[in-house]
Amino acid sequence: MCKNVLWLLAGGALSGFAATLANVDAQALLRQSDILRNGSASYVVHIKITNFEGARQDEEHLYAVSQKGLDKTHVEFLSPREKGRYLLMLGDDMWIYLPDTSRPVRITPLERLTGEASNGDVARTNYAYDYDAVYLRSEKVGEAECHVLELTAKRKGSTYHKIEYWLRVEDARPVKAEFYLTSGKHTKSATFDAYLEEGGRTRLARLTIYDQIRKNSHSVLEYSGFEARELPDKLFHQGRLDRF
Amino acid sequence: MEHLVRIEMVSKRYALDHSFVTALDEASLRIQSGEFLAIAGPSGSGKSTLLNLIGCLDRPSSGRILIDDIDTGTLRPVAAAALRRDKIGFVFQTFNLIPVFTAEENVEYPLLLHRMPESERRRRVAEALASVGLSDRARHRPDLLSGGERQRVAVARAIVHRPALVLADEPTANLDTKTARQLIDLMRELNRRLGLTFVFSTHDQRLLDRTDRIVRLCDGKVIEDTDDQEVRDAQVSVVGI
Amino acid sequence: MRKFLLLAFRNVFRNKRRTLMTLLVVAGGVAGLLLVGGFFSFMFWGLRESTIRNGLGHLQIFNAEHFRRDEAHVLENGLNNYQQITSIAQRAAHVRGVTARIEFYGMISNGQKSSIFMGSAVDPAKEKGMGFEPRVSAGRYLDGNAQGNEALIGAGLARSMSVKPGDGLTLLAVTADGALNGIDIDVTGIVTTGFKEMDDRLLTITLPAAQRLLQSERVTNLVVGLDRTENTDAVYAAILPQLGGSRQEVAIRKWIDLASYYKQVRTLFSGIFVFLGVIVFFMVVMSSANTLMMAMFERTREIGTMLAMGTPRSWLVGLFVTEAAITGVLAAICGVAAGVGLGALLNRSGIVLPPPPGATGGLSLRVIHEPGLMIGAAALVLITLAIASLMPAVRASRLRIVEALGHV
Repeated sequence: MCKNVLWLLAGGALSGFAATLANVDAQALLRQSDILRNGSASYVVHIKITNFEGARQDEEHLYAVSQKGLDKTHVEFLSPREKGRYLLMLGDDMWIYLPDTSRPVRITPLERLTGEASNGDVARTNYAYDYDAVYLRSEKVGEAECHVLELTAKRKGSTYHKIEYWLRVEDARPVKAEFYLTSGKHTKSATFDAYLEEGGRTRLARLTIYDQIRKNSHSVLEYSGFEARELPDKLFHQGRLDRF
Repeated sequence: MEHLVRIEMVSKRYALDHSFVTALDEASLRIQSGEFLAIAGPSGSGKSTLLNLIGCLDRPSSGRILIDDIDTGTLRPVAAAALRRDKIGFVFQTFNLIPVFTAEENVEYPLLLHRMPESERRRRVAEALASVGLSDRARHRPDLLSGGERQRVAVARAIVHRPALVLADEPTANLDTKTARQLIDLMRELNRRLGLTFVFSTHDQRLLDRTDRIVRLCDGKVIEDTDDQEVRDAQVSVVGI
Repeated sequence: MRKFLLLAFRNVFRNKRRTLMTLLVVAGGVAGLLLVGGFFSFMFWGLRESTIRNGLGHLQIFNAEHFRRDEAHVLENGLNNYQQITSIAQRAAHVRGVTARIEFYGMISNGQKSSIFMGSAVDPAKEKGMGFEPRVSAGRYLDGNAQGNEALIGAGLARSMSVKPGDGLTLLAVTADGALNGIDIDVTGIVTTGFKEMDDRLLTITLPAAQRLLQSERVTNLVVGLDRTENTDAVYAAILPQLGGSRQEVAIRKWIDLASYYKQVRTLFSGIFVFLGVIVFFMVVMSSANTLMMAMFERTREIGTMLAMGTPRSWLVGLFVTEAAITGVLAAICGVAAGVGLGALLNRSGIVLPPPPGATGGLSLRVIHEPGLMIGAAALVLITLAIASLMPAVRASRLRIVEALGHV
């Protein structure tokens, strides 16, 4: 009898340990995947977003994203019609600044930036900062063996309430994601289509976001011009600034 | 047409609870045009019933009544009303004048039923009132007239349309003796002057003294019919049951 | 026939006391209906005028597409060339003023916090000229000639944005072609409508400011104000053909088509009034059927006599119904006179009722005298009495003569 109890205890401890191991793994995995998306602690990258309605291509929009640390983002609108506009995210708060106005308008990361891309899809890409990861299972996607993580929002500034995240086993590269709202509604999905080798690093080159409600729409985000750079704090100043 | 009114074996029975009341029992009678006769008998003898049947106010249970050779029993109500309107005038024991009409308007009433033009109506009304001697009371309403005057208005109303037959059911019952006699004399004079046939019922012997022909009823049967000699002979055979 | 009418007339006054009682009841019913109906008319009139004066106007002109489909962006179904349409409308008779409006929505921000607003853009001078000025509880109304972008905001919105007159805010909206745009505004006044849902979202700016924000030359609609509401249909008929020619299809709506609250109130109270009419109907029938029956019984012997003399039974029915109708006419006249008289007295009395929900001042008790109402009420009691008399009349005509003659 004693022996059985011992075996039970051991078994319990082992699975608990395995679980904890898995948990530790999940968050670490997430951090790893973030590096592939963000590349550096402080950087500037250009994104071109093309929106599609069915097969038809709509306008392109250009943005310059400046990220400092995990929670400061400045997104400048570069398209000719949108010149002078920028987004600022500090901690959990986000604002949009419009030319010819003297104060910003408070917005949320979930609101649409353009097409299927929410503000947060562009300005908030350090998932480990915003979400708690739990290991679900492993799954094969196409050719790749993937870890499947369930991410739950842990901050007010998190874009989505829940994300299902497929990361490639060999290098934690994001393969695809499913996004869920607080109500549980499956709102969008994304595929991480292409990665670039540059300067010894691998970084996300292309991301496609699909609308799960209006099944016909999707947006393609193309990343280019990555530059790891020191960024001054005053770029992320909440008050009104003239062009930086 | 020999007789204006022929009553042939007429009976009238009423249902009462679980039995019948026989108001008239095979009564027969003939009345000529221009006659002036009284129907006499104690109360319950069937006088009113007989008058009602002659006047087409009701239908006999058996037998028939012919007026101008028309069997009144076969008439439908609308036709009976038309017959009454054209050929019969009524005088009632209780006068039965319309209280909101003046004397002359009451007299005028039968003429309204004939849709006579106004000028003609006015002439006839004046004539009728004159013939009953009430021209000066023409504008009075019944409540301002005495009993005798009211009955005279009723008589004027009964004759204004020159009916073939004037029926009066106990016309003097509500009048004092003197007025009653005056009324009977009036009716008799109208009978003579205008040739209208008058049939009235009464139980007052004093009035019967002034009448030529008397038909007596008892328990619904004709027990006597005083008349001129010819008819009296024929009467005997009818009465001798 | 005149004699029969005379007979009927005299019969009505045979029993004066009974006739008087019937008259009182029926006339009372008529007067009551007139007073209530007159008061309701006054309320409708008041609600109608206040609805129109509070900004609805008498007629509104839209792009016909406005009613056919929803807009993806603001002013997608807006009115083009509104100045031209304005001048056409302005030329019509009875038109006191024509002003343009834009209805739009967006985000409003004080720098820290954002909120949604439901906005309209107006021409302040014209709105004032047409009497459409809202109640400004602090600050002042818009000035069309001022520098910068003046704005009125609802009291709830002012509280949530923590602003007072003189402070600034920023508006964010999606333009007519789907882009984002923003302008700064200066709060000149705070508006209280009395409805919390409106005060929490209300924003009013000038037409030029909205057109800059939304990047469009269009407007949502034109509001036409007339000298008198009664001219609405005439002006509608006059303007409609003149607006046919242009390339965009134009739709005109009368105030009654747009005043849904007014229509609901009107329907509700009209229903109540009909219900009252039904009550009066039953009142009249109950009270008169019995008296008519009694009257008939009292005249049984008289009826028997008339039948004995050969009067057609239908004439008797006609006589009774005529008597009831005469009573009805008399009662209607008395009732209308009483209703008019009492109404005039009430109007002069200056009684003030407690204020209805949403309003501040009391509602003065007034009665409008409407000929249509009078005729209707009179006809109602007349027909009711005639109907009530039918049964006694038919009973009378069916009397058996011999029995009737023998009646006491």
